[in-house]
Amino acid sequence: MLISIFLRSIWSRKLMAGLTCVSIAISMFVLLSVAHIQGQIRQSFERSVSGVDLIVASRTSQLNLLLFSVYQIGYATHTLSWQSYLALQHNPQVDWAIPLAMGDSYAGKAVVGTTKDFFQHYKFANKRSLHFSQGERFERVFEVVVGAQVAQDLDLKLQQNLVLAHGTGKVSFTKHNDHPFTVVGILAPTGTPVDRTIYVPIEAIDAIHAHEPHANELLSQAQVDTNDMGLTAVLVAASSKMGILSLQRQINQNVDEALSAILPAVALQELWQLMDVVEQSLQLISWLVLAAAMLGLITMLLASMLERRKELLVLRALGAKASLIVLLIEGEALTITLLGCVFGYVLLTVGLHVAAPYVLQYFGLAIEVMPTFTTLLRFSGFALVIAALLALIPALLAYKQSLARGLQVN
Amino acid sequence: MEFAVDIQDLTYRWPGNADFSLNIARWQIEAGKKVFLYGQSGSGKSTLLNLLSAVMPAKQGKLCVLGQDLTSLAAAQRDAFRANNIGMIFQQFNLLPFLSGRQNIELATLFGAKTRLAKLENISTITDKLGLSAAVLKQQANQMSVGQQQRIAIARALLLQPPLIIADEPTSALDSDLRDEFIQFLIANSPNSTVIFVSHDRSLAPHFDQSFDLFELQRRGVAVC
Repeated sequence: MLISIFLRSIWSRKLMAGLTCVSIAISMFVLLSVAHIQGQIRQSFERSVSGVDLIVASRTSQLNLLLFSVYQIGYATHTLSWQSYLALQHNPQVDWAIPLAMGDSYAGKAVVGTTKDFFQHYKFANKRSLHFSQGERFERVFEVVVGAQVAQDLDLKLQQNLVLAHGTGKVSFTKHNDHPFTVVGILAPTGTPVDRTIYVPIEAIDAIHAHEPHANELLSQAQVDTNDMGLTAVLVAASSKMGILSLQRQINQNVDEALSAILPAVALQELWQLMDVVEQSLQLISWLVLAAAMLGLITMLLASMLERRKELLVLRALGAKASLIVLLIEGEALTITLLGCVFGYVLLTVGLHVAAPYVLQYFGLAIEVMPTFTTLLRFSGFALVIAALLALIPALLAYKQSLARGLQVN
Repeated sequence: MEFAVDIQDLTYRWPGNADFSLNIARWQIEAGKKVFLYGQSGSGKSTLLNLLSAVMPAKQGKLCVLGQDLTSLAAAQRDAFRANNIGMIFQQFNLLPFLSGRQNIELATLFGAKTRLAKLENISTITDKLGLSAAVLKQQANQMSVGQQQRIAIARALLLQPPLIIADEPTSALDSDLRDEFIQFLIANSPNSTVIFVSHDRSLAPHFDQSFDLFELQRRGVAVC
């Protein structure tokens, strides 16, 4: 009965209580989404490259190298020569080396030239290999393998033909009409930039740019124009894990061509350090939003004090303890905060469901749509503790007043 | 003789207010009497009612209500004592505005120690007598007229037939004909209870067995000291 009175009392002030609840819900939404998306971005970045010991490109900063080679953000100012790639491949300390040639696009999707080895050696997340949902690796010059998202967005089927363009824009002015490519493989979704990429044989990149016709020969017979070929980056695995650092030093000190070799994990670390300031600002803002919502809660409780006083008067006359008012006010603060947390969580879940496809499409970030429960519990727990502590102010004020004034209203 | 109220040398000072104090040397009310207490605002009426209803603790003197020495009770015991023994009616703020008439009457059983489920059967008996229709009982308190609210308040005070009923200006918001009806009903339906009816309207005194003037009570107290 007391609980039903308590709930009806809140319900009688539903507008105020509702608005307060919504403001807490919004603050929880902001807090949870910042924490969630922050974690997801890190995870998404970290899952994109695995099993690659070094990434080599023409000399540039390690962060830039990482961003353009793995995430296709930004671009390489210089290319790396085919000779340097061959030298890497023949280096005894190198287990395998996979060339990547970027800079072309098809309908806004990046076109990357590489070798068949890419599909064998590239790993993502926890050393998971690439799988084909349909078809297989390319074997001929004018064959392509597309990522899951590309296939879905462009509605590509096996054996379909495409015409690849030079340049990375959605609208390309110089179309390479002469070389139609055939889709021979579609990769299973990975939640990495691979999904948004079209892979062509490295020999074809050469063919796209050369204007004389090329034959669609088997890759084993195709020749790469070694003088002309500019690579964006080379993914390298060292033959022994112990030798990674010495290999890196060796590449960085290469005299024939100015090269940079980076350790992906170290470069990511640098990225996180840069992001730290942004992340912390976002976190600070979300905490401030929560603080504002909590102040709103206290304002609401204080504003309802006169009504509360009359309510308590009736209950006191019926034999209620004066301390009941502490329970009522604390209970109200906690109920509204709890509801706010739940609504905030629902809001986030709905928001993520709506936003996730767009985030994937435009930023290439695969975002988990269900925020982790532990994050929710952590923030809700915190909000509840703060609410309980802040509500002590009006609660104890009312309690003191009730003791001092007895059954008088004023 | 049994006394519903037995006061001797009772002194009360509000904390932080040295100007006002309540002093009653001796005041006794026999059990079962219907008593009128005349008190103007500022006469110490609220103080006395807070003490009698065991809301505020009496610190000096003797204050016995229904044979229980209230000065010896702790706060929680006083609250339980009030829940089990005293029915109260005020001028206003008798009802929780967001509850229905019936729910407001049922509030009487909320804090008492004993199981009062059986007593809930009394609700219809009392509401019938009070002329409270089923519609009024379903209505929310804040949508009722003042007269309806006061009748709900009486119904609640009488529901458990407490040995002591304290009414603080319950009729000042009512029209004069409703006022007499209210008092007659209250007296007629509390045969075994002691009733203390406080008002600043002396014309109501003839309805009661005895009448006291709080100002006189206090002055006599001072004289005795």
